[in-house]
Amino acid sequence: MISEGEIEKLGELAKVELTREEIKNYKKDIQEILDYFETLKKVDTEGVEPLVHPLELVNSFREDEAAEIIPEESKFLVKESPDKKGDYVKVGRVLSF
Amino acid sequence: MIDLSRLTISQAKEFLRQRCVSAKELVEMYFEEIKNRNNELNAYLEVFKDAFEEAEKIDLRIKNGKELKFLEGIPFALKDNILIKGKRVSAGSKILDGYIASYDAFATRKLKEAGAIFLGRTNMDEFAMGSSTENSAFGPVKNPFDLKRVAGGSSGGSACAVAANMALAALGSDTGGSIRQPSAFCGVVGLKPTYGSISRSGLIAMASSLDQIGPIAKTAEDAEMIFKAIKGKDPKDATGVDRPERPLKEKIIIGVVKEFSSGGEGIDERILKQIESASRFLDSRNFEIKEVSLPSIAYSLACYYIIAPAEISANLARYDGVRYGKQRSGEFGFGKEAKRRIILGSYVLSAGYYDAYYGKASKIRRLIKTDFEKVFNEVDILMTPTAPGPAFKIGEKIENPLAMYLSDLYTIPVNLAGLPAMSLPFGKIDDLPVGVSLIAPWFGENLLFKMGKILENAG
Repeated sequence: MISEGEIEKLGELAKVELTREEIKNYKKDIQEILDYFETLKKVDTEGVEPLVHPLELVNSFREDEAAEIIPEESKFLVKESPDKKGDYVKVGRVLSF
Repeated sequence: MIDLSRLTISQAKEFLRQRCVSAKELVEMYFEEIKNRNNELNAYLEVFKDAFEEAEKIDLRIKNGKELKFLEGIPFALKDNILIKGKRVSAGSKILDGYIASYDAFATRKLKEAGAIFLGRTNMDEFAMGSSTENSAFGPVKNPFDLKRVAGGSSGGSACAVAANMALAALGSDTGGSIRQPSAFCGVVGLKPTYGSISRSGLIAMASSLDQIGPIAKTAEDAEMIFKAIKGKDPKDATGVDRPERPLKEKIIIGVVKEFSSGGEGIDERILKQIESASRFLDSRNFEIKEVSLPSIAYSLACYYIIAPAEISANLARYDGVRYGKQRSGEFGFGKEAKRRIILGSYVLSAGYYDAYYGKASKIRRLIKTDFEKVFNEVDILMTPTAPGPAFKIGEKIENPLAMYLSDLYTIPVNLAGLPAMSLPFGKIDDLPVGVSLIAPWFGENLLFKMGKILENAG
């Protein structure tokens, strides 16, 4: 059984704030979904290789060449970032002392 | 006078070529429909007024005797997770409030090169997570056949726009049925191409091993034309593949899936009657019908709801206040379903549960793919229902995530295996359209188009 404490912890780790109400509701929803997943336990997967990609692609290499940087495009991207200062993307404090 | 409800791409091209209608007049006709119907249907989030200017440029080219490009002057709607340079893009979420795309998606660029006109961007479930567009931050799309019902999802806006004659064609994206299911609910044609056949560059990612862009159109022929215009690989999507299409066989054997032939929770049995009726029709046209078994397919839904949320929780990490989005929670943060899937995805990937959930699901995914490989040695194409019933009522499933997830029962196995599939309107239940789906082997889109053209008028 998943607990409200686990939901709260997952929220913290995934950086989504959850209200008490949301924690309660997600606990119920996710427990139902996990119960549904129980059906998978019946499947014999002994010796089966996992498939993480439908077409099992091989590496798609490019030539190791410097790409042209288009100044307008870089400016555009900086402009669309959540916060900025001049030509720089501004981020919140990462380290705390 | 042109009847938009019957207009196809090739007819529109012919009308433009013969100057029966100008590109600008065509845009005006669609804008008139949007003006009349979008308030109640909520299919478009934004309409692009510059479509007129694009149309005028095309009219000038026609006037100067230039030959029309492949989709020149064809009015399109684009799902709001496909980037158009210089236009806002929201993925149905408030987290991207005011965000403007800095480049064209690969599919957008291909459509532009073919001369298509963009009428606007269409409503969708937030980050394409949902089966009804009720998860959109901008309100649900209504079904044009019954305003109390959903248009399906997540590409509900695109399917509704085509069905209600507010666009001649549209693009959507399909991760677990998001093109096919709304197409079935709205009575239009929807194609989910082979994984990798259209570069995903510029498609806002949901679950990267499952996502694929595809067309929503009035006919199988229209879908074929759009697919040909937008397919291809580019260096910005390392998962793209460029393989020749499969040669068409003379004699085609159609498989019906034994595991999908009986009812069950949430399945309207009248849908199964539609498959029987489609089988009878194809039998009368001298196609061989064969029942086949895919023993692992029953586990697809559980498998998908482990793999998809796992990939979602990773993909949505980029909305971190640095790269995209100001806040992950609160008024301009993620909505309810997005958060639910982030939590679920984080759980199935967490230490101690990884092997039991993600590891196990990935192995079962292999078994599902192997089932399809085996079955395509016996038959050339599969036929299944698209959704377990016609469009459901708005509000009917939104409080019960598992019931909502079950509406993708028939479409999900295709994404897990990376196969191409197409939903075609086939008859009605209680005056609501329903869809029949065809599934071809990898890179077998040409077979879907061939069979789709036979089946689409038979319902």
